[in-house]
Amino acid sequence: MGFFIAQLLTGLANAGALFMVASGLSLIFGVTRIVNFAHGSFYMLGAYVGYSLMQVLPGAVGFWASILLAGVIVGLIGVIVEICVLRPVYRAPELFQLVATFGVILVIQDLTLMTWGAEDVLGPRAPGLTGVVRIMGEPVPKYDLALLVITPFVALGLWYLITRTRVGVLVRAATQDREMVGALGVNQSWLFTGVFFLGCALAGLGGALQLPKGGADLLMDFNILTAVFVVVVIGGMGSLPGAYLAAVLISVLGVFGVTYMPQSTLVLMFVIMVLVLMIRPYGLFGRPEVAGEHGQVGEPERPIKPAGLRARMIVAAGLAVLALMPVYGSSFALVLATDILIFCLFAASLHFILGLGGLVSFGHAAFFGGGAYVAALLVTYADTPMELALLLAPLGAGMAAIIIGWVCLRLTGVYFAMLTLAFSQLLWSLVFQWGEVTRGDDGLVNIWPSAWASGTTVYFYLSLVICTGGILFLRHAAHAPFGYALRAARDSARQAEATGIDTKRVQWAAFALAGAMAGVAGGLFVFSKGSVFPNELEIARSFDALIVVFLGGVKTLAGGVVGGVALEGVKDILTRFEYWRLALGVLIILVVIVAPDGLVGTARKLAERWGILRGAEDSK
Amino acid sequence: MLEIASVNSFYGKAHVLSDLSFTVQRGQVAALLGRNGAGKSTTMKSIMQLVVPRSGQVRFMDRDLVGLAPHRVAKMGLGYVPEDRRIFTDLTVLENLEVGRQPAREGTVTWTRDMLFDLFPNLAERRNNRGKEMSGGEQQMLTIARTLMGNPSFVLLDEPSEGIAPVIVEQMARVILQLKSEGLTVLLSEQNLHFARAVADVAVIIEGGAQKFHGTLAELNAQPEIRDAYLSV
Amino acid sequence: MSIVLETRGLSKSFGAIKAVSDVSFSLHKGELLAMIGPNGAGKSTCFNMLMGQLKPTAGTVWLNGQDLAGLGPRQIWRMGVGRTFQITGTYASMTVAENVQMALISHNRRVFAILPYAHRLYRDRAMELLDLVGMGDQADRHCAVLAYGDLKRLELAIALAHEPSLLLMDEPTAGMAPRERIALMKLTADIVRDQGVSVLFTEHDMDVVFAHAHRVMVLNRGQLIANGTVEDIRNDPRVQEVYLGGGTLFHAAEEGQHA
Repeated sequence: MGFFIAQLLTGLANAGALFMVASGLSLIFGVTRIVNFAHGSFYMLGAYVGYSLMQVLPGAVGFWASILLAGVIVGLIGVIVEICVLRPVYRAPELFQLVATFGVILVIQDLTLMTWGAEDVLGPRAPGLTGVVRIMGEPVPKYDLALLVITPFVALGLWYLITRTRVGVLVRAATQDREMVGALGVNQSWLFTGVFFLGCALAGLGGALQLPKGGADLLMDFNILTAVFVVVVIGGMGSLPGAYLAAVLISVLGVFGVTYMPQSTLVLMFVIMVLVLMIRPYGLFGRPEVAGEHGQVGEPERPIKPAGLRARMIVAAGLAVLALMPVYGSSFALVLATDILIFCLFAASLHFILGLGGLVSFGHAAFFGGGAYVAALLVTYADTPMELALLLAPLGAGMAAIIIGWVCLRLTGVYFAMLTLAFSQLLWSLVFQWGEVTRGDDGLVNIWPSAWASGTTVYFYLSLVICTGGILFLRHAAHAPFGYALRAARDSARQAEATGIDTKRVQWAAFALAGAMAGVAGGLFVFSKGSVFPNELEIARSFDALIVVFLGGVKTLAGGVVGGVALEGVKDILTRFEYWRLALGVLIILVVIVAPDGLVGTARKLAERWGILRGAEDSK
Repeated sequence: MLEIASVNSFYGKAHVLSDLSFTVQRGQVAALLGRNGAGKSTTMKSIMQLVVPRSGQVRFMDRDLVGLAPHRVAKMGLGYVPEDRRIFTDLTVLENLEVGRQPAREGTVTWTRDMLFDLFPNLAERRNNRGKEMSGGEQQMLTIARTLMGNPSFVLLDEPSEGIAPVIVEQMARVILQLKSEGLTVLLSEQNLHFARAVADVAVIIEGGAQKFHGTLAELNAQPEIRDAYLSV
Repeated sequence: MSIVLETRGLSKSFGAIKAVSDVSFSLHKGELLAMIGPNGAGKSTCFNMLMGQLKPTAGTVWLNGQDLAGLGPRQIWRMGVGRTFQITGTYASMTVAENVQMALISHNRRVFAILPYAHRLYRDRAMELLDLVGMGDQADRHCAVLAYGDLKRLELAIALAHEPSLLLMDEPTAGMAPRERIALMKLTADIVRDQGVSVLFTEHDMDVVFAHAHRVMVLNRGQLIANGTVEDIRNDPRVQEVYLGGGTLFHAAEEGQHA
């Protein structure tokens, strides 16, 4: 019994940081409609800044002052980010800001590395709270008890601010219709900045508060992000009580999980989430997202047409140049081209559901990595030949997409996005923790193509055929009734349903197709590298694809491919430098600000302005 | 009090207002009439700077508004009631009013909640109800009350009679006349000529984003050919 | 005349609130029936029950003699019920013709086809429907740039794609100018006459209702308080009290007709 209570208390203490980061994310999303991917980074900054302050400020007063100051400083850093990065892109199409926040993650990662070094930092103990208290014979750290008391106060304070003050009324009003709030005389810019400060300060506070328990390291940002998304989804977007309850639930179960099922701690979190969503699709305290809310920006897409003769000639010429590459390119260039081709197929598969279906998946890596692991496991355990493994990879990934899609498509918008992310993390944690089969972090190695395809040139041709075939197939599907139905479901689900189209089934089928295509790419990837590691399933991999699609241009069919070439090309150059993340992050942010329609969309607009292309209908 | 001079506004690439000019005098109720798509809502938004005119001037009390942020325009005493109501459905009636609250302004009425509850008795009964629990007519009253909380000297009403029951339309007309008697200036956009006749002193007719008529309602009544040409009654 | 749609004792409660209680009416072939009433009277709830979006708490709906209980919106659509919305729902990223083609593709159950080019399917039939509503010359325009009145007409063409026997129109003329309203309702009346379709519509514009409806029902607080000819309804004191008011701010039907 005593052990049980001690466990419970530890779980409750752990909930503190999680709640603060999650409520900050939720607040920022509510008002600005931006899912701040960089929120984990602010949490990490809070820990590092708090650590440095504690080195300077002595004693108990210094300790607590450091924590508070860390919150304020991180909040101010958030303000800088909001003003410099997000303000210029509020007018960009919805979700394009995601890419900008991802750029922020990269920048903060490298800046933290520069400032504090690569070594993990051990958190100082809280003065006066170093020992343990025995509760029914079981030791409970005093600091845990302190956290236990502090968190509800923070939660209550926030709740009071949001429900009882004028600022809170304005925040809630802006959550619904920010333009109208502006028209009523409220300066929206400052409201946005203020909310960003508050949200980031909460994240920073959370990071600093957990220092004595966990210290600081460079992986904190992504590590907490998943848990935070799970908390927000379980609790319900925008609900403070929900965030608190969900944080407690996840943390307590996490602690018990470590004790009773140490092999499945990560998986447990996702199982709970799926269970909650089965019963309450919008989380414990959440409400359905209202479709067609005000404040959405971006012009509707233009009608699509199958490529004309000129476009087909250009594509054919491009393919010819590629096909002749072994003649003039080095073997290094061939390997790079193979990588790019595979990546382009992966990106095109995401573009299919994101661009045509409006289904923003944050976890598309599940199917890329999934396909890769299916092939690798088949080779490792069943000596499957490459040809068969390449066939079964998309099948496995497609099956995974059918299951994951079934759950995720019950929700829409940002909930859908977060669920897909959570599922890809579930797969990642399965692979990571199920070491006996997947070899965990060591990965699966020695997975080579069949003898006939083992040469660089042959494998390049194999990839060229399969990838261009896949991309062209997806492109054709876009012009077929199926692709049209997918767009119909995105443009007006209500009209589609009212004319007999089962929109959910259309989206489900598209999700499965996209998953299978990503699986093809994953299969090709394994055999080109000879190995696969869990990081092919990571958030970062999903984000790569997202960035590519957004950078290339969501609203253009060629967006995925062009973005894929651009990102892989740039990465190849930048990764030769030490602080390449910083450079890439800055570059991404700049592209987002300068070319909000994506590379293809912006190029098309420029071409129209200069009279090279015929413009949209009403420009005549 | 308000002077629109050669305003050109665009929605994306569509040229919605072309060289639009008209004026509204202090204390008047002016009706902006025209067909659907004539540019009435865009005129309202161009005054509020929710749509920023590409050229021309919007002078309010001798100051050009073009390029100002909407909240600055509101702070100068312009109150905007949008056509699609846009109340905050998750907030209570009292909270909706709170969002609109601004400090008192010299030279115009300072509205209190109680004054507004006198004007709209239905709202008083429902002060703690959320916006989404209210009927369309009540929502329409709430948007007007919310805007009045900002103590505007000039109110822009976009299609106040659209989509509500005839009984509520009559109540709306009474409210507008009361605002006038309190000394407020009103510009309302309308497709219902009968409604305009009941409340307005002057009419501005626009077509294709340009002004086609500007005069009193008596003058408009005397020229049925204008009515037939532009109003499609 | 044969009965197309009939309801008996149709009721819907949300918790303790009775949104619709005990509504019974019938709609004959070729009839234009208007449903009017204050906002929140239960008109939308009624519509949603007829279309299968809401399950009635009690009561029955028959379509051409067939009980609709337990059927979803898509099944009811396949039985020949078309619908237009108060706020238009069209596919903004497609052309006008493609919008109609999409409904035809669904009607012919080819939504999941992946080989043919969608823009070539049922093009001729789509053009016929567009000509019917007077949109033939705009078939290849981008839907997103259409004027509001044209969107309404496009929506009508979409709703007619599967040759429905019943058309449910939710505030078909909302947001339109008076002349457009009359034109759209005249078009609808022509279609009713020529195609033998029956129409049930809600409307706030009394000019439209009085000029075109064959019969009018009035809902108030979820109950059917009147059901009769235009003349009956206009002179009904209860209807005047809850809905029409003094009648000073809308003009008479006669005036609306000569526009």
